Amino acid sequence: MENDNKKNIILTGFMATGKTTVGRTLATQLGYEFVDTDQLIESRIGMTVAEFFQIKGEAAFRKMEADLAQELAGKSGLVIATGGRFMLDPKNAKALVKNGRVFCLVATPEEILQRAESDGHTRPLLQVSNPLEHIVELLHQREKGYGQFPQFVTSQKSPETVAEDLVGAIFEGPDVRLPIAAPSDRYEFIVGGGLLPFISQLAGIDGSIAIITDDNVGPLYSQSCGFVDVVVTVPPGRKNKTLATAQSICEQLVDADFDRSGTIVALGGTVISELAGFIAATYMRGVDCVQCPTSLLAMVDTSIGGKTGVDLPQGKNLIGAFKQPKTVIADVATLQSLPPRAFASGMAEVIKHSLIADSDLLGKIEAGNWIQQEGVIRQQTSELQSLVAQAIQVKINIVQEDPYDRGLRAVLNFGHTFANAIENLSRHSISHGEAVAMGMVASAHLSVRLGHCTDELPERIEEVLKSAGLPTRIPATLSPDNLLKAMRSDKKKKAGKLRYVLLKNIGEVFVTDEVPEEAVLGTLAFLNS
Amino acid sequence: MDIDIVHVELGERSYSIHIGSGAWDFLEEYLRGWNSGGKVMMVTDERVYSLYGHRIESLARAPVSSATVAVVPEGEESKSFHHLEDLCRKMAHAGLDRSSLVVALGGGVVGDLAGLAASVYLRGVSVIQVPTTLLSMVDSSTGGKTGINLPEGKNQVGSFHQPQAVYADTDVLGTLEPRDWFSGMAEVVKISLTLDPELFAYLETVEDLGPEGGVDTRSIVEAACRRKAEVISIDEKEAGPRLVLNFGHTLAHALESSTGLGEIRHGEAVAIGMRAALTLSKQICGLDEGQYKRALAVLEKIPVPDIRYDRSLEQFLSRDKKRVGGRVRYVLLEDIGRCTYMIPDDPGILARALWG
Repeated sequence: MENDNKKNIILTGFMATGKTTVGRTLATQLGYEFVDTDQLIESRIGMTVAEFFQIKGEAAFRKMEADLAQELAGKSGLVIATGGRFMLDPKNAKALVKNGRVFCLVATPEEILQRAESDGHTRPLLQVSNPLEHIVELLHQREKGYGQFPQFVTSQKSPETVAEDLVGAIFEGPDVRLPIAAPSDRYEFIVGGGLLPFISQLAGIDGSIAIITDDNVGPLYSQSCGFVDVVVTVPPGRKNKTLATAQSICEQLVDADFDRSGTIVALGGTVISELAGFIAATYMRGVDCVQCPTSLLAMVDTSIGGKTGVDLPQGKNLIGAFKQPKTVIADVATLQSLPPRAFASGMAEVIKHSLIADSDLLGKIEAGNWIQQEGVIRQQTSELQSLVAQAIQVKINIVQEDPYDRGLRAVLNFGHTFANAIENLSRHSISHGEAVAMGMVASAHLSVRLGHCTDELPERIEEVLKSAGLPTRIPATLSPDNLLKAMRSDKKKKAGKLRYVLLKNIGEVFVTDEVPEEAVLGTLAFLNS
Repeated sequence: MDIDIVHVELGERSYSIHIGSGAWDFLEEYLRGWNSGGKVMMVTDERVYSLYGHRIESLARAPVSSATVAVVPEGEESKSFHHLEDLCRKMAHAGLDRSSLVVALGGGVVGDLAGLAASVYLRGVSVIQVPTTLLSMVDSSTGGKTGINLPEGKNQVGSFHQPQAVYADTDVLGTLEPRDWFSGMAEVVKISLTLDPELFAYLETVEDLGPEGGVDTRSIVEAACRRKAEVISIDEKEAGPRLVLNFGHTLAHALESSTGLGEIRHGEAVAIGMRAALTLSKQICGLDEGQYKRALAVLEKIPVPDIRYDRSLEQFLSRDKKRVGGRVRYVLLEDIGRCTYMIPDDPGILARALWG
């Protein structure tokens, strides 16, 4: 997110969460002017808020707040620390959001109580017999009000650290927004760092929100997504992408009173993206869906195109629907938690996109070092962001031409005729991305063998795959004969011959079924060594 | 053969409804000409198969490579995730591909289940609806709504998937149980009250709306389909105008859920729901007392079981899926043939309109 034109920064949150202290620090760091609404009102009325409450009543105070909201909305370059209930009034929030970005500071009830007791102010809210219980109750009442804004935890943190977190959120990015034309609608693919807290605003969600996620991703990120009405968490892994899981999710949504006007947020990798998309297509005959991919593979592959589905024992994605998302929000910060092998698997699809349509992207990958180590992402947010943006643009261009997968999209299957067989025959001990890497090498060698390109091309492809930590040879245990058999059985339902995507040059691919079997077997034998 | 054809105008997805005695002969002709290369699967239920198995098998031999016949158990329980998966597995087993065709031959349960299976199998294959009950002929077979139930409520999971064609052969209505006949008649009355004063006037003239009462079956099916087709053409996905087809349905769905699936016929529940909606229409939408009495008189020709008030009704009412921003939208009548909407503060108001 970029802070263009010195938009105001508005801090909201419960009392004693540090709005004033953090706000002052933040204003200094940004070179903005600092305003505290309670203090400004006190200076204008010449008495404390508590005294004003007693003399004129609460309504008069809220009126002063409302007027102040309109006044401040007309200015810019301000950091505004607001009173505890200031932003809970929708009119005030609406006025300030027009020219500002709102962040909510949060702390544990215990810490709120401790800070409130030690800062020397008289707080009418705490003049009760059990203040902690009272705080918990008030926090609960205001949960939805505060939850509409992105949350920043202040517990156990210095004001400087919190201010830094906020600066990070303000200047992370700028996001890249890529428009996508779908059959009946348009939507955006938004790539950036630190986007999860802004899902609701970025996607323009009005009604209730249900997150569908898995046990790996949910605990890490579902808390970061602002206020949501229900989080449904399923066991991770492809084996759970079944109708039984879909039924369980639907039942949990009904139990949570999630209705037709709600929006499903798919938070996770490819399995969640396809599963949650299928739920969005069929729950109540269809609700809105926002895709929030958290793996590189999901970001550059499954999150757009609208293909959703679950598996049957007879095959992958035999049951499904076309469901275009309302928005795709790819927060590259989530790639931090991706295991290195999963990152590499995503890189295989990135490289595939560069090979079929974007030599510029290929050059960028060749120039970098994309092998990750456990828990460390080498790249800057901005580098990851432009990598994802360029890779997805390739798919966007193709999908727009062929929204219902009636032919053109076939070039996206570059390497996949081999890859699916390799993956299945290895019983999935070889990951999808690794299999795609092997499949692309095989397709390139096959292209040479059939005289479509020179042998420099496979060399170049092997180099770039290696630089991303991907394999370029097929394990000897997968014999050419068995692979060809597996490729044929993949196709058994489609009458006709096996189809291959072959290369003439970088960015120049074509689909053909005119490939002699000897050439395929020869290529596989060569790579089997 | 005496066939009426109603056209459903939906651009690329337009189709025709063939209505009348001998409509299955036209279906047979269609199947004989099916040449997409994809296989055909016919889905029916045990009851229909026991009555018309011979004819169904001969229809199955019509396509170039014979169709596979899948028979599901009779009754609402078949509208489940379990049976959806079972049917999709059968499709995979039979080798159906994207160019295949599913023929849903049966009542609403078969139409909804097979329609959904066709809509999700390989992300969508073609379907033909062949309704065998009055209810499915006048209501569920046209319009593309598909669905299955959850323990929490009816049709909670589903899709919009328009058929390639509908074949409603009125000859098969002869084997319908009287209760099922009346269940369909309730939807005919619904269409007449909300959209077709002329059809309503005709229903007033027929003393006995039962299967032996001499009503002109083909005409009422044709009229009901025509009105429904008009509404669907302007509002395929139920964004607005199509909601009128939910007249009486809010309470009906709650009744069906609270009495246990299959206990009460859908049309019976709709008939009860319409009585409640009529009372409410008189109370708050200015439905004239005379019109109210006329409407009630026609409704009373449809026998319904005696349903007592049940507390769980209000819970099911508030769970109705046609909610907007968490509230239920009721379809009510200002006059016969003219509808309006209301969003009540209290979802229990419908139940109280009936039981006070």
